[in-house]
Amino acid sequence: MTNTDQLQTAESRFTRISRSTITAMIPVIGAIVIGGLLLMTLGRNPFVFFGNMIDHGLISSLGRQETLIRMAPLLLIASGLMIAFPAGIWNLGTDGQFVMGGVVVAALGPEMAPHVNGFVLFLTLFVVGFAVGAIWSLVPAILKAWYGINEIISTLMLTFIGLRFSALLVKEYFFDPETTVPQTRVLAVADRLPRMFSSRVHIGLVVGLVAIIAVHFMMRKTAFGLRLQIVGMNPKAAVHAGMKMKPLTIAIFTLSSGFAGLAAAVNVAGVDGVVRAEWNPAIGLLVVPLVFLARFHAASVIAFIAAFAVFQVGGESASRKSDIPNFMVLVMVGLLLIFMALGEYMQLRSSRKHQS
Amino acid sequence: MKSQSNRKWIRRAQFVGAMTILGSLAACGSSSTTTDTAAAPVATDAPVATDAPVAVVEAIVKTIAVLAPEAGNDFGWNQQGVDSAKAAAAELGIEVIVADNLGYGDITPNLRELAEKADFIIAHASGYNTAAPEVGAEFNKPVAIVDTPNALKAGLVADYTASPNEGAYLAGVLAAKTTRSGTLGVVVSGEPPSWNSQSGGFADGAKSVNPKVKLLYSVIGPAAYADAEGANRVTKTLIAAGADVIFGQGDGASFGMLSAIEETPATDGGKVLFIDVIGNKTSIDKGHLLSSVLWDFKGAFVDMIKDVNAGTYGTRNYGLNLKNGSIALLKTALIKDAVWTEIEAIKASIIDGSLVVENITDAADVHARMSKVTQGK
Amino acid sequence: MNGLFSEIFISSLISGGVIAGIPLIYAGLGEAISERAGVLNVGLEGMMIGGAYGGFVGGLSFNSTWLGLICGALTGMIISLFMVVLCVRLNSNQIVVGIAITLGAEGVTALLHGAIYADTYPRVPTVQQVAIPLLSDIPILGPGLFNHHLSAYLAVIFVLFVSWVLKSTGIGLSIKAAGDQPHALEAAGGDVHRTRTIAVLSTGLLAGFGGAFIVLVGAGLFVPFVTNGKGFIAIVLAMLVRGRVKWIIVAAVLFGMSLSLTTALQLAGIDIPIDLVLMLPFVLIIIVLFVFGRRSYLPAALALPYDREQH
Repeated sequence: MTNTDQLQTAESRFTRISRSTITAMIPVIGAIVIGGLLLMTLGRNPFVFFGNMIDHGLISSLGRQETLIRMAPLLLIASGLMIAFPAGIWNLGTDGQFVMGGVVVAALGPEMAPHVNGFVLFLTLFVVGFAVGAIWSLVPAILKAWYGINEIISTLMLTFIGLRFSALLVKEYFFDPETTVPQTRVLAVADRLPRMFSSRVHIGLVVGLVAIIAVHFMMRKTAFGLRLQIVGMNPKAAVHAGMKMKPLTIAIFTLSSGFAGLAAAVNVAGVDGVVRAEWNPAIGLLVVPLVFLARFHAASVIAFIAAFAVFQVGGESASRKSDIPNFMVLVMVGLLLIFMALGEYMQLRSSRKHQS
Repeated sequence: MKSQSNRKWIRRAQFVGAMTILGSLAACGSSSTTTDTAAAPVATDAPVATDAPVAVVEAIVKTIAVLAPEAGNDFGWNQQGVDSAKAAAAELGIEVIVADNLGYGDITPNLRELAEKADFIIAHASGYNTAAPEVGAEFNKPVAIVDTPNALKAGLVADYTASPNEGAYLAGVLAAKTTRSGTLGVVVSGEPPSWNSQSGGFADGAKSVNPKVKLLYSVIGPAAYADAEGANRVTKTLIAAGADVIFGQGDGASFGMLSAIEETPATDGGKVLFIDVIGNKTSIDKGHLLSSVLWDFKGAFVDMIKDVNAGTYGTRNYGLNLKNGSIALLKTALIKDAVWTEIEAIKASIIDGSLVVENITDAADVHARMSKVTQGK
Repeated sequence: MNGLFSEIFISSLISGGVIAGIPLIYAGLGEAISERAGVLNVGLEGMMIGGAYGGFVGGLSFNSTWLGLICGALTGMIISLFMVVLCVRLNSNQIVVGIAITLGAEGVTALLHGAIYADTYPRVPTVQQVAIPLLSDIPILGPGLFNHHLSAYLAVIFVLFVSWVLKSTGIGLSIKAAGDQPHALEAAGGDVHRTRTIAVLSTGLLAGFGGAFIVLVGAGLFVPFVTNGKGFIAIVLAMLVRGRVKWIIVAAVLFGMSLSLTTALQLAGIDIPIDLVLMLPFVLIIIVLFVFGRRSYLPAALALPYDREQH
């Protein structure tokens, strides 16, 4: 033990920061290298591709704004997962919860907009989105709390069902009679979420950031959050300690899925303004590994989501410019995740080396 | 502990990275390139004068952009759109930027990027009909959308919805004249309005030849545009129910239909034939392609660009129909000459207006035209 | 009436249901093996799509359905190597790696197909069906159930074989121990990492085979994302049967049939919205879950990496 303390003080702060930054960058570099090799086998210039990717995703003002806009719903979904996963609840149904929340909000928005002022409108839409998302995980929650039924199955099934049900709602009840395309009425641009600093980025981003930080503190500093962590680490101990599992389980599910619904509300009210039947952006799956890799820590979650948004927005643009299908973005995302997982392993190993 | 401290620092490094990104948000404000509101466009027919552009849009189109949800080599909707855009650009001697495979989600980043570079944007998917006009308005660039004829906006927005019901009517006539079993199959990947229009036209055309023809209709699955396996399964089922001509609408899934048709003989032992839509699969056909209801967007696109240059864009929509040749029935070697002559005659009567083909866009209306398996009709 | 609701039509419905279900049997079986050993393999969809593409290329190159299926199985196994190295050996997070594999494989196969085959959309060789004598003569059910490519019947044989292995052989018991009590296995002289490696590689083989089946027998060609979520359904089915492997056959075929049912309902003119009809298979699973699936069996050490150095 004393050895490591000595090592710790011997190292300068600068060295530590540099090493940490480099370690954080290694997965990105690894993904870029392998991705570059793949590009070369397809006959494309990797430098041009990645140059475009970073340029559009990060450097160009237009692209950067798009990256930030993309981050908003991802942050909110991540907030919900930061509640469920540490509590041991595998909420894999965020896509369904997202779509259901989005559809209801899209239907409600244009109806309300002419009658209320902006603040009331947005607050209502957020609450409604959250509520619909929360309701959509009630069935899995009850099945788990009362019957111990595996929620991986039930949340996945509710996603499939939710996609069908939302399409049904749009086609049969929420449709805009003015157009032949089955979609909701459009929330006029003027009625959408206000934008910040005369850029295109809407305040949904702030909502997302606040949510992540709030959830982070709730999970680590409040009694409720600590209770959830205990449930996750040792359910039997939790029961022994007298925690009421049934209400707790319901609470975890509904809070987690509520955020997914809120994410959709933010997106609909801020960007899309409309929802078509068969709408399914399917961004939940991407957030799951990010939240795990970040070990549920707010700063890491935000950083990872930012990195992935850059990859997506920049990658789409770069793919088009290099004339390859934007499936390349999927490949890059997969590579990045694999390298991040590897990176975690290397961190663990190196820290253990220093311990012994 | 060293390990914890390491992780803490990595997280801090990442946090710093995140803050940098967020800090740039403030910088965005100063370097924003948006003009937030477009001046209300004036709808006039005045010719363009170099010093007084009409409707605040650039008068000369030098570059166009086309956005498509799926790959531009799908022998279907996307390919026709992309190829037509390229052909239109070639004809007018201008540049074209192709952005395909964008999916059906949020394409505003792509729209904005292209709006910066192009003078005219073709948003080739009904799902883009809301986002494209909004971004177009932001950048003051004219856009073309589909399936939304009410969105006409002088100088900025026009629609190019196809009326394929007429072409599909001819296909229905062809199918009814070709079938040996008297049973036709209709397989679709989804029920967007323009496809419903085709299904309805097909049914009407078939019944005009044989009022007792059986029409078996099936949707493969939800948004099953790529579900080749489901298409294969459903097609085989319809063949087993007696269909020997299949009218298939499916983009990627249509290959599954084709595959099923190639593998499965009809109930009478003979060949099953396929009528495709939108694209032209002749180059990959193995002898089962009876015809296709071709959609050619080039004429519409050229007209649009000319109208933008003339300052009259946004005063009318651009239709695809039999009359202007943008909807046509593909002639193949499998169509008997006598049948083709009859079809040409019917086509003439549609064009001159003596025969009117109803244009239905609602799925329920389509279902009403189809047979039920339990009732023999 | 002629051809409508005739025997041929019903046979076709049943046949279609079986063909839709067979890939789920293979993939579900593979997933069950992994989960039994304590590995939650979320990358199943990636292994299936890899196998689909590998099977496609193999079937075209060798002009043979069987060789294509084998190529698909091998491709699936190669993809599962990622899982083996990263999760079993290096203890990385199984969820992360699984999703990474899925996204990556979907992207790579779509990219390769787009580069190589998208201008010609070639179709695979015609499938040779084999009718089981006597059984295939049973009215109505016979032709639908018993006239398929040999690989369909092989699925049943595989399930029985694996079920036997898991119950009665040394490796089977090791797998179960690796999932329930890895420390006990190590203490008894077994090797948890080796056992889980074998389990995950088997999963890759089976999932790849199932994916290849989708292309070679089901669709007739490859298009990007052709597996359409079947991998996730297979994960769910594997959990549903709670370790009683033989039930996978029933679950998978039932699910496949429910897809055929959606077609039948449409053709029968039953006038319910298509979306409601398409919800049915998934609602069915929840009902089955509720009736049969209480306390769905999940091995105690599921998804927990086994770290030899810490025990």
